[in-house]
Amino acid sequence: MGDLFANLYFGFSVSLAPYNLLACFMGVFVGTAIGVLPGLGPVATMSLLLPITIKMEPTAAIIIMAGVFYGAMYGGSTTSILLNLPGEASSVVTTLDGYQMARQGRAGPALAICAWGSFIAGTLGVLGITLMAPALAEMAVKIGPPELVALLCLSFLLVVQFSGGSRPRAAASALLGFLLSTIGLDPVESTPRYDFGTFTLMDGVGFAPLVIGLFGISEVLINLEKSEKMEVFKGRIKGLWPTRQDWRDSAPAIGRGSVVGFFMGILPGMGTIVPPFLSYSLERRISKRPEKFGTGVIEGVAGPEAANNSATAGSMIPLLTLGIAPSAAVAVLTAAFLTHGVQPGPLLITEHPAIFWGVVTSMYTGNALLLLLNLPLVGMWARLLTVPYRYLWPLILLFCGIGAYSVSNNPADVMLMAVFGLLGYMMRKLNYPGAPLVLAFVLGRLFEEKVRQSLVISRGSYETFIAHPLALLAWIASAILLLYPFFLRGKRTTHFPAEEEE
Amino acid sequence: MRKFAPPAALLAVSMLMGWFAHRLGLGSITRPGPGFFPFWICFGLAATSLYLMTRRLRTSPEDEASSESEAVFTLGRFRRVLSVMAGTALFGLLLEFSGFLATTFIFMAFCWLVIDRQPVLRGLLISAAASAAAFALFVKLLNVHFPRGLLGF
Repeated sequence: MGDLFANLYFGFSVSLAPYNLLACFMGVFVGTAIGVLPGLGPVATMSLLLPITIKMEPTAAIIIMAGVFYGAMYGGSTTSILLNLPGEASSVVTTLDGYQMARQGRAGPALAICAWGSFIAGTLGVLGITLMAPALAEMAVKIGPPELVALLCLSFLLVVQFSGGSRPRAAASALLGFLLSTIGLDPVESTPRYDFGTFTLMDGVGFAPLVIGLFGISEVLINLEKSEKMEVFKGRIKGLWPTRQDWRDSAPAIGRGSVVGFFMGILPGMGTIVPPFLSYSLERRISKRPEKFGTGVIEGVAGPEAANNSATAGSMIPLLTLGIAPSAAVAVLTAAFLTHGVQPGPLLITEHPAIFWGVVTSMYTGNALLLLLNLPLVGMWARLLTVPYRYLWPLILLFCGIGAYSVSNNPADVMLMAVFGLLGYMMRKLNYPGAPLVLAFVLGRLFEEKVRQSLVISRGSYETFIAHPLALLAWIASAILLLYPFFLRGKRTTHFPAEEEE
Repeated sequence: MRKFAPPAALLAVSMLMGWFAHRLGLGSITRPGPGFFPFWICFGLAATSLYLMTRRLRTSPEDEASSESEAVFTLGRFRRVLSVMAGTALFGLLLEFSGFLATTFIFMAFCWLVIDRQPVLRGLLISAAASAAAFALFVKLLNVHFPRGLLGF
């Protein structure tokens, strides 16, 4: 415990340094803004920031990116409550009761409980990281290539399983991501693959053009098809301090949402979309007035909002301890670590303690800043919603182009981004989720390297993949995941919205 | 048709890439070659595509007709999508030649005037303001390096 406090003290000394504090503020500010604005999600925004943060100190760069990620969860609820339109896919459930509360003149308490719930859940989630990550990282150091192969396989299957919609389409999307990750120099022998004689492809497909195209450009294209008419809440937002009764109704929901969100967030594929749905179902199931859900009950807002915020903290655990990204947004964070020459995973705490503890403690500060940004400034965020989309989309496209270009100062990357934009648009229209593609793309090279290393070390013996109990356990879990849909055939199953919106 | 075409395209991609992977060399199980991993990925992608295609073949004609009635890609929408793509590609093509500021202005004007059909004067004014703001933010403030182009900025 003494070590923990010493580490936290060290972390705060890093994250409260003026430069890092400014980075944290910028991250949560941008995160809230893009969360409020429907049409640009945290994945695309983080990808856009990636090239800009290259020149920054690694700690500040990761702090700013993480700030955008969890800041977007706060902002998303404002749009859900005032517009009945989720700013982020993770705030879909908030529209059900949040907008009804706004219609009844209770927009203030709804926004306030969202902000407080998000703050409490976010802080509890970071406390979870603080307590669990060092212990898990210590265990993860002992994991060899065959166990990592098994764990990665399980992660991919979970992503395919829970990315929403059709599983075969999600599998096709993941396999396409793997295939794209093989473009460029082979990681073991450095043989050029699929470069077709071009220098751009010899370096491999860039992460920024792929993600910006797949999420940023496709989002613009989809939004351009929609009608622009949005009904903005015009009443005065008052009562930004919840009543005692509001607190009494919301506190247990916030607690349950925090726990559900944190543990679901750890699992690959859950992202920040599934936990709010689960929290909402849980609240309705255990409520004494389930029939009132959907008519403006405060628990229906508090639980899901707490869940999506603690899920962001939970999803950092696999990244910080194993180097595995459980969602598309965390995959962008992985890319940010790698861009700065830092390998996320079990050795992060010992090799880069300033980055690890600096980032973790910045999340405490970030959550406090978000509370300050979201409560007194809620009127400002509401006004941001009145900017017509026809003025925004060319600017978003411009930022996308700048983001894709400035990673390696190569105009060909802008073309690649346009190609991936078209691919992303078609995938969304045809209901192929984008998140499995991004995750497979990011982890594909690591997966290939570990498979080949394992086969070389074991002299071609497949037994190496099941020799360790952890690997065996992961394979059994994978087999269950693969086979259980066949047993459930004909039975009703729950479907969650596609993760790609994240 | 619309549900049959994407897996057919994926099958074609997997077969082509699988053939390239085979040519790269699969190696042996004790020493996998550069084509080993992509080949098996292509194999998996081909199998998934075939599964998606056969599942589509099993769908009844009534279901097929009802799903076809919801047009996913209409000509009007797709024309707009292609215009946006063309504008973005143009941004990449012109960047080295005409520099950041001029390219940004051309790109913004293309979006607001050609695609969004804004009034000419308003379109030109907001394009100029947006390009100047982007130049100030990215080049001057954030120090991002862009080609100077023919005009020198």
